[in-house]
Amino acid sequence: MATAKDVTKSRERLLALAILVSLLGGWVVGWFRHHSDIAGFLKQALPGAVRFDSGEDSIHTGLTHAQSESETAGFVAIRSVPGYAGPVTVAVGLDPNGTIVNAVIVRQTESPAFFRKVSDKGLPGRFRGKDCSDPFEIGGDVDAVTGATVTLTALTEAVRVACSDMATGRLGLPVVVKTRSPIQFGLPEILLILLIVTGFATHANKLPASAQIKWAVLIASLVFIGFVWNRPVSLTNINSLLVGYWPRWQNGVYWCLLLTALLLPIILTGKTPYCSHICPFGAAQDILMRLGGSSRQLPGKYALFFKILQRSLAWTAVMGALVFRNPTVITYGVSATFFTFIGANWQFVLLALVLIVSLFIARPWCNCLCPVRAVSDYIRLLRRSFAR
Amino acid sequence: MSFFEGGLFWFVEGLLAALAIVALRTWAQDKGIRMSFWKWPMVVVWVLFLGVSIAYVGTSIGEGEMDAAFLGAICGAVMASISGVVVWRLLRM
Repeated sequence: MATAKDVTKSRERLLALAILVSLLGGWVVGWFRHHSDIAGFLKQALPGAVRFDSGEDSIHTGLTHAQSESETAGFVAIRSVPGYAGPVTVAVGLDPNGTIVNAVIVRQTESPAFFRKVSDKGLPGRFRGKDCSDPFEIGGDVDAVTGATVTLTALTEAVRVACSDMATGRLGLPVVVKTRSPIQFGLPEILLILLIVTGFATHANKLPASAQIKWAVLIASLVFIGFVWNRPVSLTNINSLLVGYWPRWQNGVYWCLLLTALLLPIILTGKTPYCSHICPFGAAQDILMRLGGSSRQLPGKYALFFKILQRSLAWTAVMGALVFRNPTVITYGVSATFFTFIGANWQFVLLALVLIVSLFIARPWCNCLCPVRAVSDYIRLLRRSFAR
Repeated sequence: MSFFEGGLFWFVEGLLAALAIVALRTWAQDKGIRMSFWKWPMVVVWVLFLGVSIAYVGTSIGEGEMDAAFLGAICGAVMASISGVVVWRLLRM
């Protein structure tokens, strides 16, 4: 005879399976509906061309007439470079002298508030008139955009690569060759490793004075991961992973470390030391809780309501990302708004509510709305249901 | 000259401020809070901050700067709430 524990276990297993099937379904739907018609973008990038001949190297030659004796109006190359939440793809039109006729966005999946900062500066249209031999240096011949460095870097790099390919492959013009370090590993990566190691050690009570060291790690995380670099784990990172927008590991060491620190402990042990000991927005809530002098948890009936809300919202956001193959199609995080002061009005209102409630209730964002917590809970459910 | 530009307005303001200080003292005594010398300036600074925040929002609305008013209201509310809770805890020390 099945005990109540067995019934709960089988229900959990069924739920885990249903969610997994729905996510796989979303991924498949997204895969089939993902296509982009580039013909319109070619015309926008090189308006003077009547028709285009496509080359093997994905460089399209624009011709001035429909007949075979027409002249070359220029070239168009479409190139992608990984941004914050997926590839930034641009179509760049170059005239036969090596000057950019136009540059247009073919596809991007960056966070809307951050991309708006770039588009408000007139990009990528402002690349018009630049020469393919220009250095395309942010802060040099390309104006920097505060608060959207990753997006701007990806956009500029995509335009530069497109120009470089056309200049060398079609026009035989010289270009500035950029030498890049093979692996991006600097102070952020080193400090992140230190924070992860120390955070995990305090979580496992392996250090003397763990409580004090935990606070030191949380404050360092708040300052560096949060305010200085603004690169905490977000649902966008997880969605990018699921959709398949992975950066080259050489350029994404920080990203790999952060996601490994979040996901590996859950998969191996079912615990989430990142959330309690490293998360910078969690640190902000903990500090406010200390200031408020309260460590109350949400009452049971509200806790259940918010748990259901949290998981439903996270499922919707992940499904949206899979179906539309866009990690940022549904975002409702407030940590980026807190650390960068960029966001929609409703995000500021939600952030204010979370910060004020944090004075009286322990980690309201983490316990009620955080999508990363919901994803962690789901992995834990999968582990509990299927792992031996 | 409107009421808000005249001397009477500031006279009324002074009366209200004096009343508020007396009310705060009475309220603190009722609650058993001992108002030491450093608690008074702390409360005054907090009240001034609240007033400046409200004035900022009001002025921004008056100037038609709705974005500034919105962000000012959000920042003011969060900072006044956090500092208010801290002030309250210090008052009860």
